[in-house]
Amino acid sequence: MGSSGRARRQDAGPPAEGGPQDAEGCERLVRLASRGDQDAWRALVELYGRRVFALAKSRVRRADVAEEVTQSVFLTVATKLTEGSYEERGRFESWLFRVAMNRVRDEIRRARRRHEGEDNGTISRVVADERTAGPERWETDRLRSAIEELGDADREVIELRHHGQVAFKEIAAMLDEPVGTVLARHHRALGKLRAILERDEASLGKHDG
Amino acid sequence: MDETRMNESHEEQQVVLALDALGREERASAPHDLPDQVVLATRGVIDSATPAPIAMPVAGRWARVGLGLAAAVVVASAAWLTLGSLRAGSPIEADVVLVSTLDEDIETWELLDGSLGVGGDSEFALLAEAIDGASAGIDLSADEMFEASGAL
Repeated sequence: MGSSGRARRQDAGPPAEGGPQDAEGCERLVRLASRGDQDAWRALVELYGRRVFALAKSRVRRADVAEEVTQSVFLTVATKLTEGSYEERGRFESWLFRVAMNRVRDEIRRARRRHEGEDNGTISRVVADERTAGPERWETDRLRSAIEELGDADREVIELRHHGQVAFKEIAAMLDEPVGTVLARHHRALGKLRAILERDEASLGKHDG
Repeated sequence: MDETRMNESHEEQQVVLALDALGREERASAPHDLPDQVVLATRGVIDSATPAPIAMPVAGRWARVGLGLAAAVVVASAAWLTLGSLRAGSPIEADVVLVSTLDEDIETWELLDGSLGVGGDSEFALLAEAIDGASAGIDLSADEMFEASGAL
């Protein structure tokens, strides 16, 4: 009951804002991991691994690349922790996701350089491969396409919040902006997504009609 | 709240729910063994961390005070030893020590020379030259020193 309850809570969407118990527990794990405690390190990886993966996959669209990015992010984090250069006490989550976002941006830049001069066919093919038939998949794919149409700043907030399950407070710390600004940007991004989805729906309606 | 705003709010809520579902799907698409892979890839790094000393949190402030005092004693001792060795190691004092040692040996040699008839004028001259050189502050090579002591 306990474990299924916890699994439900983890998957029920973004976490509640500012859970002090979680933050303390997390910092304790960070402290132990930085002293070489493998169990504490595993607990951190279990806690954040899939969230970092989801964030990366939303951007790079390839599971294998997202996996590489995730490993690279945790390697950076482990190195910084053990060499004592982690100085953001109480801000592990925002620090981790800042490392993740930087790594994702690097990967996107690299992919763009690789595909410069090409017809961008590889990325399109990969996306097409992942999109399978079926009405529920169709809805998901429409949403993915709509997210891709957002500007970088809006997209980052959406992906951090809904893929990475990062609290607004942590996003604000990451981006070094007031929480109000982040909330406003999230609200604006939702409005844009809604507009894009409505436009697509109208366009489909026209074709069908 | 007017009807338009209520509709907007409802539609945005739908988008939020759809985004949460998408995020959940992406997280679930991570390989089952992702944590194992990450832990394996980072094991060496975490193992290389220096474990924190256990005594420090237990003994607390007094342990830190004690360690501070111990460190101060070590530093003071090192400084005292360094100064002492500098004094003992000065070239002038070394020469004086050499000369005094040779003086004692000359007396011994003179005694031996008188009783057993060993030694000779040339060896004594060489030894006297060594004493003169040392007392005048002239450095003698290792060979010269060996030769001089051999004369005894």
